[in-house]
Amino acid sequence: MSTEALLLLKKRRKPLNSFILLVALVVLVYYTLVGIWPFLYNIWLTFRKTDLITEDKWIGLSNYAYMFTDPIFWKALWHNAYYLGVMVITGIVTSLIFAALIYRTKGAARKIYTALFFAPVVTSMVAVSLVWTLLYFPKIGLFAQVISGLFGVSRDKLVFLQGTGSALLCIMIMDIWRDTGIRTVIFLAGMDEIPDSLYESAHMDGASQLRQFFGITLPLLTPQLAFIAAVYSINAIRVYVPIYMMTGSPPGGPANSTMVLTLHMYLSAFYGQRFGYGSAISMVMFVILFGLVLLEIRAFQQRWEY
Amino acid sequence: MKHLRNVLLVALLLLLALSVGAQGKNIPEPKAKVKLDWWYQDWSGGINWIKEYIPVFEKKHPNVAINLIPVPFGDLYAKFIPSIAQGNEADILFGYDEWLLGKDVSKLFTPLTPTLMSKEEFKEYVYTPPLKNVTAKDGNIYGLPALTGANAFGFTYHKDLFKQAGVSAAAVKSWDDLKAASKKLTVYNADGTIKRSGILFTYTEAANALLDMIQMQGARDKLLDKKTNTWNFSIPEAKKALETFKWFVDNKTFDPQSGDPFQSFPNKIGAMLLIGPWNVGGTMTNFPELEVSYLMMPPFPTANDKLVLGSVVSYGTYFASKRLKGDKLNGALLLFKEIMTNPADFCDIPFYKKPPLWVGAVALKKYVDELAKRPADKMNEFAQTALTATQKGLPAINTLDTRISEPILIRQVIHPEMVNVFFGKKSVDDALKYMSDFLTKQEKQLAQ
Amino acid sequence: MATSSAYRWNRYRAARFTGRFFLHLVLIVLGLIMVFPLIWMVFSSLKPSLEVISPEFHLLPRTWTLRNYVRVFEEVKMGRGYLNSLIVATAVTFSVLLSATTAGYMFSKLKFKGREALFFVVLGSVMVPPQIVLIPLYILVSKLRWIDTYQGIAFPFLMNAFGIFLMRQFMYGIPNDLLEAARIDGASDFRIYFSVILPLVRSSIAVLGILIFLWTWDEFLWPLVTVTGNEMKTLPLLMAHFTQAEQKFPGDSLAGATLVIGPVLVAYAFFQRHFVRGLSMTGLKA
Repeated sequence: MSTEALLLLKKRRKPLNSFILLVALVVLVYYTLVGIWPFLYNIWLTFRKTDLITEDKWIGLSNYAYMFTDPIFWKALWHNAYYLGVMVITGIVTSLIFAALIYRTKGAARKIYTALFFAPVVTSMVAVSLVWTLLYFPKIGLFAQVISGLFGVSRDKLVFLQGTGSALLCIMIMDIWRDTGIRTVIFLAGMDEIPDSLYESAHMDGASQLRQFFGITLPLLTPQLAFIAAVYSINAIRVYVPIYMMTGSPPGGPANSTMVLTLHMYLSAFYGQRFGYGSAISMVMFVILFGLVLLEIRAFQQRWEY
Repeated sequence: MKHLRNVLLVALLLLLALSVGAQGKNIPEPKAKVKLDWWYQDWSGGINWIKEYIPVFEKKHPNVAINLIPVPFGDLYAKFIPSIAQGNEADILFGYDEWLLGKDVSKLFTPLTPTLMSKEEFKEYVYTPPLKNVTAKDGNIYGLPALTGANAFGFTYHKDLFKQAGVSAAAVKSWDDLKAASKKLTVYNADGTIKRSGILFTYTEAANALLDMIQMQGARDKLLDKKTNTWNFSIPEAKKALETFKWFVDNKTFDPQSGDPFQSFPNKIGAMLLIGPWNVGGTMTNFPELEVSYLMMPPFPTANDKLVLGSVVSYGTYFASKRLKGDKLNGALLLFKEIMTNPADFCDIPFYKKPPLWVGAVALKKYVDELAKRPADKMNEFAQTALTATQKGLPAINTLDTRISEPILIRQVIHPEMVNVFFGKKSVDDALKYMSDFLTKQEKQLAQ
Repeated sequence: MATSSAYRWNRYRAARFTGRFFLHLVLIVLGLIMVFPLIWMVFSSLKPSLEVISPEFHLLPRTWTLRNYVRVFEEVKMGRGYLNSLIVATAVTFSVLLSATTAGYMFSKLKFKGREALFFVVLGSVMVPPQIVLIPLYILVSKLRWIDTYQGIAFPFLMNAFGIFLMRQFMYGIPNDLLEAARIDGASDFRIYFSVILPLVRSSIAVLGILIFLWTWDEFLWPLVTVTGNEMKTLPLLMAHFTQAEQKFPGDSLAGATLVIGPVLVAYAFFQRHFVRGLSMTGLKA
């Protein structure tokens, strides 16, 4: 028999493949245990009032009704939205600028700069939060000294994590600092792929550097921009570690000014013994994340297709 | 004649029964070696205290080995009920009674009565107020309260700073004295901003103190109406209490934005620090190079002069897991019995150390009785403080009957509102109204 | 005329040189600012706690001390924390690599009924990370009696949808002829997986491995919920101890932070290229 015929035979038979069976089964079982079942149970919990042992009863939509009037919930939601906006915009702008600068270097220098910018990315967020908390020590800490020294602001005003208006912002600055490297590298890689010829012809036409940037670089970086926006939006909704580590006592910062959804969920469930309400908060987070993940997948697709 | 004989017989029998009962039931020693895990809140005072007690206990009961597991407060609180629900709690648990507010304790722990002794007898060993939250509907008791927890106890202070400012701790006998002292102790920068606060208020203790002050003025029932589950902070007593705290900010003796008080105080960014009993010896132990002492909370100006130690007071209580059986259960019961019947072995440990491991009111009545009778040459200042604190205050304490958990009440609502007032973001009236509204909503939701 | 064009050329070169000079200056300053917190962390960890928060700034300690490190190892038991983190991160990395490569192969090259449906399930799992279903997962792990165990900590992370997607994407690029050739030789799918697929995605495995290892190393919320006893705490939980402890020692915090960040930074210094490639794999093409 010819080779083609043999192949055709093999294809048509489609025997029960033990490899597929094993892998598919394991994947299915795992994701049922870790994804499907917990998700359904979570929904179930949102309709109940329970502390897991001494009481567990059905209360219908009461948790959601309460959430609607819970000032701390709305505060947390607002903080997450604020976090999202600041993180995405500032993060992108700063990383673009840095990438544009590093782009103009080459060789060993470029490697060094990339290495320096990227170092914070590999640090543990938990540990780094501790360090920054000390740097942010109000009025007499290092940042207070530097800022009052450079800009002449009175040290008394530099309360950072102790100020209701500044606490969340300070945490965001740390978060932006930490991931700047990764965003910069992504943009750099994107910039590297843009053919020089485009810039040369623009230069011939008399376009300035700035014009070239906005006219050529930026549009061609759209997939990266979309991707980063999506990823860091999701991060902002899920943010927890720096909030807990930097404003952990009292949790949520001064007058709840750094309260975020994940923290509110954790506190309601484990500190308030209200697991039903905690689940309800997590469901709201799910809905928001659902929308954002859809966005990310679309951005991801675009990335690959491009 | 016969009648008298019968009476005597009955009296004799009663006496016999009482004397047997007075020792508690006879708990058999475990036949084989048992190991009991004990979750204890991780604070250096408490851990060192128990570490010293365990050998004392194990010597008397060689078949029982106790494994002390320190757990930070946040973890302990978060895991307490959930781990019992899942069946993986430790054999012996340390917790605060007010975590059990409104809960059916018979579902959570092993009953200590009548297994250890009768209810009536138990009440001879322990004061009544601490037993309130650990007693089930059928009257049986499910926990052994030992000590008062985090509430506003007093102030630690830097001796050298006091001396520099010419302030005497012994002379601080009222809140007016406290205000005056804080003014003397504050150091200012050239531009008028505070360089060192005269006084620092911690978070939970300040909020607890606020509730205490309201109660001390006799407004307990005005504050929380259990019939309608309504909180009302918009009462003159609450206003007076909050304005007292605000005085320190307005008169620039307390800088509310000078850092975490527990970090600022050792760094001498504040001269005095409001603390709870758990931290009395804390700074002294952790920074031996500092010269630190403490003074007790002066009574708040009030019609009722009893020293109220806490409105959301938490009694540190010991529980035995409901999963314990046989030898393990007996081992746990023996531990509790030992603490109850030989309380001095247990309670003397924190007071007779320099610096003390802990100073506060004790829930074990027999120990306090013993202290009261102790000759003066065997007493020391910390034991004396504990005695005063308990005798004057504890029997009169009536914790607030709220179903809201302490961390939510204090950390999510009351303290943040105090911060809003300190930072000048809200007026006192607005903050009080907000607290009333928010807590009422929570209380009603929890009462469903 | 020649002079003026030479002059213009020199001016151009000078301007370019100045431009480049400032460029590098700015980048060096920015770069140093980026790493400064880490430098400060290391030096300040060697200061006594009371000196860390001091109104006059000095980078180098006035009094050098190792006391913070000693205390961190003795009282906080960092050694055990390291072990725990290492075990969990290694196990999870191995599990994710195994599952991602096998599932990636399956999804990219093997057709079977229900493949799309199963892929949809994996996709959906991205929307329910452990954070969202924290409470049910906690209950599940409790029932399995896996609280305070390594398997309990690792459980929600054993498979990673992102890893599956990544591998699937890479494996699409493997020419089918290779697979057919192997099949004709009678190789089973297991064989093909080991001998053909794996070697071809070696570099991606390395990169994904680093990614997963770092992510797991830093995982905080789930271990917080599932670990109670100090014995089983991973490093991030021990770090949290520094903010939750009743007495906070800044020196200890920094010593702890250095111990956690240090080794990774050292590895980073040597394998920088792989780290960079890996962590931006999220955005780069194959």
